Amino acid sequence: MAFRAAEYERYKGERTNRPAWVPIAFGTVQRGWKSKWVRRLSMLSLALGFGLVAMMYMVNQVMPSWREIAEQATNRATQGSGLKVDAGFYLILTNVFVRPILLPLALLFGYDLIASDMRTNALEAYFARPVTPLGYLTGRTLAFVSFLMLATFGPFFLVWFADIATSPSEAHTDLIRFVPISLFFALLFISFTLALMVQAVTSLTRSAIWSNLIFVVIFLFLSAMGMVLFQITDRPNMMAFSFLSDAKVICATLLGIDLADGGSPTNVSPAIAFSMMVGISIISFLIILRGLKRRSLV
Amino acid sequence: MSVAPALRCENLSRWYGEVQGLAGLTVTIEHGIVGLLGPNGSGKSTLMRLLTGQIKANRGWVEIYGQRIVPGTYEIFRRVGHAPGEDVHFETDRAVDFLRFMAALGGDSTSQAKDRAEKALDRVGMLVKAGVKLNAMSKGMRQRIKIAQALLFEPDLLLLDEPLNGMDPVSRRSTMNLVREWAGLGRTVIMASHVLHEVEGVTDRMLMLHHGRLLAEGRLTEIRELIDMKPRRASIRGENLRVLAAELLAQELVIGLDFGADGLLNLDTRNLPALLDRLQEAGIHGQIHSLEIDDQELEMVYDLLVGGSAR
Repeated sequence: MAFRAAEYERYKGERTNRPAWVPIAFGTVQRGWKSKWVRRLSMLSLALGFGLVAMMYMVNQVMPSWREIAEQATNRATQGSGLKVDAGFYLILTNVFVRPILLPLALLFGYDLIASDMRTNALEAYFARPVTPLGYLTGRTLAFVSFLMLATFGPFFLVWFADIATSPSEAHTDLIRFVPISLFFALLFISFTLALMVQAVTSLTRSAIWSNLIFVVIFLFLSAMGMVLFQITDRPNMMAFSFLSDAKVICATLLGIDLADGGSPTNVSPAIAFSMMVGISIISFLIILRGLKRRSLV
Repeated sequence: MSVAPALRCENLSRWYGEVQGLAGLTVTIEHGIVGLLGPNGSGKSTLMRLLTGQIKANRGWVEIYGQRIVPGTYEIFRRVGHAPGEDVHFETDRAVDFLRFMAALGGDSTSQAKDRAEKALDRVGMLVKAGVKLNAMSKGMRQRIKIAQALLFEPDLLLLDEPLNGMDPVSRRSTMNLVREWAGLGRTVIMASHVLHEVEGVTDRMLMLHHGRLLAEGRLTEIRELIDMKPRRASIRGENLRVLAAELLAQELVIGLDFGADGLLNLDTRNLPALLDRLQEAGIHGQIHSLEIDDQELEMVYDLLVGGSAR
């Protein structure tokens, strides 16, 4: 197969000054979507959201006052701490979407994101294009966070929308009016931290297996350690070692819920939970940027 | 086209810990094709990475078309195309997707990226393979895709790191033609290789690196003269080799000889062309069955330039 010779015409298309993180972000989403388990988990999450919406709609058709009935019934069963469809209800829902959806999805999406680029010399091609390390990291992280938000905040928003649409009273509407904004920022903060942490670990290990093992340690071992330390020292702030505990406290705080009010003293203080997350984000960011800058001057 | 030289390096140095990647390289390349010669580990790829801003110099500086490369430099790299030496497996699978993605990174809109990718594929004769996955391609084909990637934005300075590795003879010739054509358009090509005759096939100008240092700079013809002065060894098998050996000694075509195992006759000569003429005559008469000439030209050049002590 011969090369084309002199009749070749120079391509005249103008190049834009669009930042390089834009195609990096689109490429990252496409790459994530290629993973069968990422697709399944995202679809499962959205299906759960639609399922809850459908259920609320149907129950609302049959019993427009189902909220009060549910509250009274659970009040009787739990002697006073019944299910109330307010911000607390949405905090309980985070157990459905954060633990079984957000954490596995972050791992599945990001466990080999930067590591594979490092292993396969793709970074060399990117940085010679040239893409700056910050542009590269911005594109990857934005896509990563957007994906996590779609799979977690998306279903919340659907449920909230159905709740508002079928709201029995102005008082109920007022109770949940600011839930989506609060949850949006809480999940954004958690997703951002998670995305940076996953990328930092993969950029250090450059191995999918080691990354997953480290996350098992981070999510399970550290959580267990936090619980044990709490039991030994009786200091709830020891639970700060648990990423899930920190995530729960952040969601509760932004939803305006004081967890100590509910008789749950095992929770870390909001200031420490936020500090942990910010610390993880900063350290992760510096680890990734250091790894990338060693490979690029621009 | 800018009047500034395509490339200027001044005392350019880079260490990897205690290992010297490049040491005090000072060179100016105006335009045209320049071969960058050196064995593995000589600093060729380090120089390529320094020129594309992928690593930072520990000392010295680089200017591309008059613009010094410093952290934050961005625009000048739009005039540079780079085909890296290492094999690269990208996240996009098909050749055209990979090139579209790289074009998008360079600032193309979606439709422009597609056009540009197809142009570049056409340029290297790979348009018919546009839909083939990169991991299903031979090494030679992937090399051509890498070259297409480097050509995407029609760079004024084209950096090719070992571009002929893994290519079949037809592709090698085509690539060499492409390099010559590219330089013929007034652009500059720096082609790194560890094989002398690959560089010789496209240019007479070369930079020779050794252990990160510039060992020689100039015309390959001068190197060729040096090689021709150096004794070369030809090894032959055949019949009546003792008679032939005596005859060659008498004609002063060889300066030394010895018989190896299995009847192999090793001949040392300072005049390889004349010896080959004589051996060709003997071959015609069926006296010689096989002939081998040492293929260590680059090593020989290094021996000549560093006095045989550096390696």
